[in-house]
Amino acid sequence: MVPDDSKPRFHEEGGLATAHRPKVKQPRLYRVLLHNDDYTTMEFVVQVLMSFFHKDETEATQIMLAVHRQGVGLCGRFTREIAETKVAQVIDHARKNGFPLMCSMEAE
Amino acid sequence: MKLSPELEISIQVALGEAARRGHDLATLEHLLYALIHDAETQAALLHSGANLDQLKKSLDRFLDKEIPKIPGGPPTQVTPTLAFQRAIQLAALQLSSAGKREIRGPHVLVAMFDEPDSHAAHMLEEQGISRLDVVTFISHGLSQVNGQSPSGGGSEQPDEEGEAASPAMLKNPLEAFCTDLNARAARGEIDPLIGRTRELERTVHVLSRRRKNNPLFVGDSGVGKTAIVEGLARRIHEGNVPDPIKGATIYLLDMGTLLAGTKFRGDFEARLKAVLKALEGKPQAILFIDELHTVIGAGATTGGTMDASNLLKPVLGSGKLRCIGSTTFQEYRSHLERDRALARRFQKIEVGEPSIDETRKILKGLLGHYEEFHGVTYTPKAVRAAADLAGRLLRDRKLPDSAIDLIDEAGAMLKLLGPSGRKRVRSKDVEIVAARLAQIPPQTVTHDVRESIRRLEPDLKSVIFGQDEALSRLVAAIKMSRSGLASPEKPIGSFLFTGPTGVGKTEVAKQLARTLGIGFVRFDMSEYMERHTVSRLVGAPPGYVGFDQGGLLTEAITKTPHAVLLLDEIEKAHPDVFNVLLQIMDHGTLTDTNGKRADFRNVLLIMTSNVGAREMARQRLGFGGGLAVGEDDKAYRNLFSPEFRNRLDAKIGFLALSPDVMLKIVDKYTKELAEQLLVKNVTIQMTEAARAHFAEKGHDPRFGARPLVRVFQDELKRPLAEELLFGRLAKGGHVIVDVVNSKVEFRFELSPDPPTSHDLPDQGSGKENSCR
Repeated sequence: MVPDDSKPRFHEEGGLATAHRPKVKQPRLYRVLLHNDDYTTMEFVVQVLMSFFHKDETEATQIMLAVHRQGVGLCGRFTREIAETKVAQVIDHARKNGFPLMCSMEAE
Repeated sequence: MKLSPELEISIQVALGEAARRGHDLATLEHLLYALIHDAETQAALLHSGANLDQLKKSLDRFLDKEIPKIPGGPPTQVTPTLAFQRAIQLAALQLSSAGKREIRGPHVLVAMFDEPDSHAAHMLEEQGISRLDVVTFISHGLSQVNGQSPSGGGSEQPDEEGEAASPAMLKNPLEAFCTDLNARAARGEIDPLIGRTRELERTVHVLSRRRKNNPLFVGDSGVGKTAIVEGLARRIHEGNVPDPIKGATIYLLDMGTLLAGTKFRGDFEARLKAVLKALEGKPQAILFIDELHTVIGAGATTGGTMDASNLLKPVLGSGKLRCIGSTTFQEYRSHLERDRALARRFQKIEVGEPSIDETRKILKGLLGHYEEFHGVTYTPKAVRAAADLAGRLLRDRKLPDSAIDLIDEAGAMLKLLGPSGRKRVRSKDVEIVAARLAQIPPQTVTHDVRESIRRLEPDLKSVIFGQDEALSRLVAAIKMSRSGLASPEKPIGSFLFTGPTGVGKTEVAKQLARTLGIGFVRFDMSEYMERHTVSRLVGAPPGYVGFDQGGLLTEAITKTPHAVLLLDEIEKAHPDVFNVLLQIMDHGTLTDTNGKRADFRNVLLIMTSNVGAREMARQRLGFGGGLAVGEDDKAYRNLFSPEFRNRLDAKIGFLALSPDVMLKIVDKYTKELAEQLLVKNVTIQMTEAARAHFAEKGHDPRFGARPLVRVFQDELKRPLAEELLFGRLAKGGHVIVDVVNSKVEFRFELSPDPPTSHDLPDQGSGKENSCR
């Protein structure tokens, strides 16, 4: 939102108002990340990646291993609202299955 | 709190749209995509200046590229994102706190703006829509659009807000910014055109050209420029035109709507371009721009030269677009002549003021419309009176407009009398209206010119003394011109009055105007002794100061065409002024530098000069004595060129005043004085000795009767004034003026006594004042 610039500005000597079409900032994309913990099973992580992020098995395994080794794994880049929804869905699903799996998002 | 049925449908559509595209999440973008198909939201978007097509395209692209598809066909279940749900909740929250019950499309639109990093909001902003725009629309514009089609909502309410770049207007610019004159003719809203065959012919002629097929009507306001174009539209509608323009449609460009609501730079140009483009697509279209001068400078920015006329130029010259313009002489001069490039693309057609006869015909043709509207009938005499009086009295306006006004006003006047009133408009009614419009007493309207001409000679002779021969010749010339025997092209008469000063030349001209009941215009030619002063009379040439004002002479005559035009002391004028006069005397017209023509045909031109007077006054040496006969004629020939002398109707010589005449003039002045005194209850009487004294002292061979005024002043009025204020006449009375030993003496009497032949009215004389 660019609240002030969107108003037409008037030349001082009168005449026509010129519109400054505001250069609207491109909305940012968000990275959705999975965080490592010692209780969530590898299988569960793979399953989450496949069902919520529609990864095939190979890809899902690679991401799961990245989580395991580096502490975090990148699940994908989304618009804010999708990222937000996915994070909520993943955490919700993990809790229901008794895992403390942590999913988060960060702006690029 | 509930969703409106339309919003519910939109949400369903959004979910369906997500499924169709293989998305398992329904985002705000899906919702927006669905909402732009909702009538009410559409109206809000259009109103805020959105381009729906563009918005739809960018949404399409976004949904296809940026939202991940799920592999393996459409998803079994579509979930709205959190933001999706939040937007609807926010809308609900907002409305419930405002006490409303139903959530509608635009409300959700507002909520979208509050979502951070939302692509839906981003795309709306890209269209120039802000949250404020939508909120404003909801607050003030929503109820009006309810149930209307979105395009109707956009263009039918000329609200300054959303008009800016309304695509609906640009989509059909002819409808939005032009009036179809053929359609108006078809609906019978156009009055028929009477006469003007020459102008119509020329118009059709120009319209049939290959290039520069653009006629431009130039004429004073009220002569019927617009009526010609409307008449043309009517004839096209009736099929009563030559083949080349059969089937043509005339569009009247409405500069008002074209400009109204153009908020941003480029809006105006876009609209005009749209109109031109639409017209180019119609080979049979004719664009009519009334008041063409308004396009010059229209839409120009400060310091910029790009304006509407420059947008028009290319299309005009190429012949792709036929355009009719109309403007007045004045605007043509001050605007179009400056823009020669525009002017040359038009073929100028001058529309003159119709004659009184033509006006009468025009009135007859229109009469039916006015009779029907006012529910009255007009007698033929009333129609004739309207044309005549408009031509004579309402000179600041033009025929036939002024005459039509009279007819209209007279009809309205009768209508106001109510149902019981008369239903026939008589010439008397028209006279009353004309007097009211011209702001003159009604009796002067019916002033009988013929009667005053018949009595002209005795009337003049009763106020001008000793010039019987000159007056006879003058009256004879006026009678001849009035009888219709004189040339109709020339002024009523052109006379040169010569003679010594103070014999009544100027006075004759004044009395003539008064007796005839016409205007009196006087120019002292001693003000026009330098060469450049000609421009004061006919207007300054282009590039000089005062160019946009008319000339003094032409202006005066345009205002009072029925007048005695007195050019005093003509011999003092610069020779160039004479050349201007030649034109007037020969053709009765004078064109000023603005191209405006002043009509001198109803002018009585009188020039005075004392050329030759000196020669006349010079006493000859030697035997014979007397005055030098023929000498004055020589001086006259020397000063005035042959062509000037030729054009004069008569050179009327005024004689020096004889002592006899002087007595009469003394009587005249005494009478004037007596009338002034009567107000003070004082009567005056003059003895023979006094008359002779004043006649002698007041006359001078060189100055004529002019000294008389001064003598009266010094010897009569001044002493009387003293008496009137503080002395023996303070309460009225009678005074006898006598002269004893060349000295004026006053005798005051109680009651008037008329002893001499020269008595005066004796009313209210004083009683107690007595002396001697």
